[in-house]
Amino acid sequence: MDYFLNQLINGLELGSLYALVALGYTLIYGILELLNFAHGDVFMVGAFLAAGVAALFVHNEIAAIPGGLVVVLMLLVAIGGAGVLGVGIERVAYRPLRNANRLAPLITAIGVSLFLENAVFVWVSPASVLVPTHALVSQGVLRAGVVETPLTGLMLFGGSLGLMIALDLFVFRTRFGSAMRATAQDREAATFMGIDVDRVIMVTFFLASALAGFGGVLYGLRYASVDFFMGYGLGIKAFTAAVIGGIGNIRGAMVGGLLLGVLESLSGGFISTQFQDTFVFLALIVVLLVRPQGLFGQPVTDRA
Amino acid sequence: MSGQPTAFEGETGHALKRFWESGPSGWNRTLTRPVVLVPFFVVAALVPLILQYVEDNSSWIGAQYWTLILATCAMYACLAVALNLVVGYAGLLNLGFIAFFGIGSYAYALVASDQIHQHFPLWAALLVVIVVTLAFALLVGVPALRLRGDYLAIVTLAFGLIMTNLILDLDRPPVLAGHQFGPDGLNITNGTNGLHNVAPFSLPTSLPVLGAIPHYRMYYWIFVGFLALSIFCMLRWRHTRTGRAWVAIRDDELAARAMGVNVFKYRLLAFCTSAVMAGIVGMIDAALVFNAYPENFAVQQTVQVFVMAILGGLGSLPGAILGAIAFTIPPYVLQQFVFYKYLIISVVLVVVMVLRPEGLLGTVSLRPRKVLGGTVELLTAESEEAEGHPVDKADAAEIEAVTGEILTPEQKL
Amino acid sequence: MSDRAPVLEIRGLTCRFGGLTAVDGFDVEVRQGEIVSLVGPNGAGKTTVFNLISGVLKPSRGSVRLQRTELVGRPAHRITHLGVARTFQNIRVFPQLTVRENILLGTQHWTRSGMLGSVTFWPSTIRAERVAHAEVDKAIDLFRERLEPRLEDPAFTLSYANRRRTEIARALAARPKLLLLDEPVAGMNPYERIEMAGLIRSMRDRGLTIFLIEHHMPLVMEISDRVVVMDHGVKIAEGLPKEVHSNPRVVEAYLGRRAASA
Repeated sequence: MDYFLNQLINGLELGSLYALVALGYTLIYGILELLNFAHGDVFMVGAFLAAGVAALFVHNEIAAIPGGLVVVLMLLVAIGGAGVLGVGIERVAYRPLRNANRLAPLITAIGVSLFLENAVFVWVSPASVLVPTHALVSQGVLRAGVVETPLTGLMLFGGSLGLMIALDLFVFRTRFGSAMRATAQDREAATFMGIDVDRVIMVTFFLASALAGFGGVLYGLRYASVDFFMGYGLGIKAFTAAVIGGIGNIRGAMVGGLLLGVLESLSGGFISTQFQDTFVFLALIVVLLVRPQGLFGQPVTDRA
Repeated sequence: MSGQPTAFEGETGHALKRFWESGPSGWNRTLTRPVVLVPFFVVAALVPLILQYVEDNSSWIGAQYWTLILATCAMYACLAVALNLVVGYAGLLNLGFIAFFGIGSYAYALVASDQIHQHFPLWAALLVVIVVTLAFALLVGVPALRLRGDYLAIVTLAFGLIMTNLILDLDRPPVLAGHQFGPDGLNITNGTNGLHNVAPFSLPTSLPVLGAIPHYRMYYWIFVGFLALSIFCMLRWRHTRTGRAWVAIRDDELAARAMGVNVFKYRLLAFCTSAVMAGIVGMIDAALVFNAYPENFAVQQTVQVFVMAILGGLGSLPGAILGAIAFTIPPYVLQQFVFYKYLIISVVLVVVMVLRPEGLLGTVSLRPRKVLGGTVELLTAESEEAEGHPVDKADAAEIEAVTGEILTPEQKL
Repeated sequence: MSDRAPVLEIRGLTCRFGGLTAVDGFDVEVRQGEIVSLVGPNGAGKTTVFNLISGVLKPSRGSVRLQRTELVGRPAHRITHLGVARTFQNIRVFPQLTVRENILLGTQHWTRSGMLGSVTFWPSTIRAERVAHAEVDKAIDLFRERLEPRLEDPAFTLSYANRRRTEIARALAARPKLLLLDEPVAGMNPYERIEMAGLIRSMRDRGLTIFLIEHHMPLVMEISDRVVVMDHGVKIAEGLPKEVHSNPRVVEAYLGRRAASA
């Protein structure tokens, strides 16, 4: 039972990370019907930006800045950097192909993904980079009965949850959010209603990428190491989470992420660590076959 | 036919000018004529002999090295042609493409090495490779081809990852929920090391007239032969019933269905054929390098073959060969840039896609198109039909679903 | 007219999207060798009826029979095989295929040849291809002057009217028992319209049964044997062209809608 609870907690931590990245996939897919393969790599770049900031202040001891402040700086740089990167990718690689055959932007998306991975590989580090998380945040472990988890894990979970709620409020409660939803439903009609669709798409890319950047910072703090390839596998898992939740559905992506994290952690803990990832992708295939619209998507086949 | 010279008396310059002016589809038509292809393959087959001759009569050494490079080049050309079938003709984004190459190489390596102590004769090994790749292709294709396009991309990508995991992890018996399957020493894939000491094909090492055939030259010829065979098949398919159905589905799925094309069947045919071709190429590769590596499944490889097919132009066979040459030879010549290889490939991919999505010789236009075909148009047409009534997202999803964009198993349109 | 066998029988056809009922209890009969026009204001559900017949959409209720064979529940490609060919309101030719290949697509469902046969030049495959190519020649018979010079050009290079012609030739090559034409003269100039009217009649004279949707009333009045009028998914009138023309419900449906949208 203890083992089960701990695995569950691990799964929720991991799942909140998937959910953050999944939100990006779902936001972009919702608006552009584009599978942004590069999104996982935006997350990776965010993590590297944060690791860079951390290394700058911790190793060089520029000034005795308290760890908390460094974390805030990391967040600002990673969120801003990832957001700008996302907007840039949209401008360069997707916008020229907006009305093209669906294959075209998918192929550029793969190109951008490969570019980001190799740019980091070539110009930053081909090996994994350690994040001096011990110098930044408390390494304490939280115990509650039989359950224990590092504080950084709790940060990851709490921070993700907070951001998700904020995003939900933004999309469903603000004027700009309703413009986003209108664009997602019918881009052409939104144009006629005076919505600046280009701006909506830009902001969507910024938000999605900023969430990924935020995820990158928390990942670095929790797992203390980042590498150029980390966005690839995580990106696909996050996309899986988005599909499970119903692609285009914001709340679905959150639940899908958490579910997937728990599934991965429990199947690793109880069935086989050897085949943990295989189970995750099998889950994707099963969901697509049984319920292609996802758990929370609009039912598309209510006919007899 | 715009590419057909009406008067052969015309001077060469004039013919060239006309060739140039015939545009991509004319270039394709001209370059895929037997008059061009047969001499091309004859010359291609002679190249290693020429290299050998030069080496024998000068101080240059490197005939073997260059023959290997050319063999690699021919291998990528075969892969690009196979990928062209599934992406260029049938319009299916198969991102797990290279996994079938890997499956082919491992399937051959297992029945032609000491890993599980099996040494099949060549024909039996070929049969094993075909059956195994076909089985995997059906396993992925049957469920995934009922889904809409971008889901196919993600399912095939996930398939590639599952295969990589399995190859890396099946060096020990699988353990599920504490239960071990198979005996203790079970090692099928040899993990990260890959399978070694794979036997080359048992072929005669010398032929009448040609004399002894060095290993690399033999496999170069095998690849060139397979390429010629593939291109012959592609051209035949493209110009008969099957190929027309593929391209029709790619151009306008709904109209194809309305003309009596069983969309699922033809997609599956294209998917499986392409996979089996990739599997056979993998088998030849394993015999050429005596090894099957986990890197054979690397997704970068898929992207690399994609770049070749796209730079040359989707749907264009000469384009696929051109793309393979353009991305295989330069890395060997420009060794100092090899570190940047994938960086360059990714930049070329994005730039080509944005500036000239149909590629150098391509006939498939991926450019924005408003007038013809496409699902978007279908949706607007349906909305017009329901004009005056609010068409909400559910209706759009409904229409999209029933018109076959999302095909659930129980629908089976 | 009523002594001829019905080719198409539709009974109680109903189709709902979410809360919207696009077609509601629609009945119609089209007999051998007839030209029947389906008219009605925008949004009346006409194209939906065509989509239901051709299997693009599945009805919520009702039956569609082609010479007593039930079509509901069959996949679209099977319905084509049973003898229904159609054109689309917003022309759907295959842009990257040549005109010839487009028309060859029509022969797809009644010719047999596979991948193996085509690479081995198997006699049956060669024969099937020859028959298919001969069918192209037959199918363009009515449009010979217009299409023959363009046969090897990709369809995206064609003019609007030629695309329509290609689409109709493609449908003819499918050797249908019933031809569904969705707005065959939309976007055509008066000369082309007259030409098309003549074509539709000569297709009928060759024994085809034609069910068509059209907005252009003079054409409908001229070529139809019977006219069916739909509004809001319901059939509101049916009869000879001149009967329907003076039917007050029809006039109201048209004028009322027009006044409201103006």
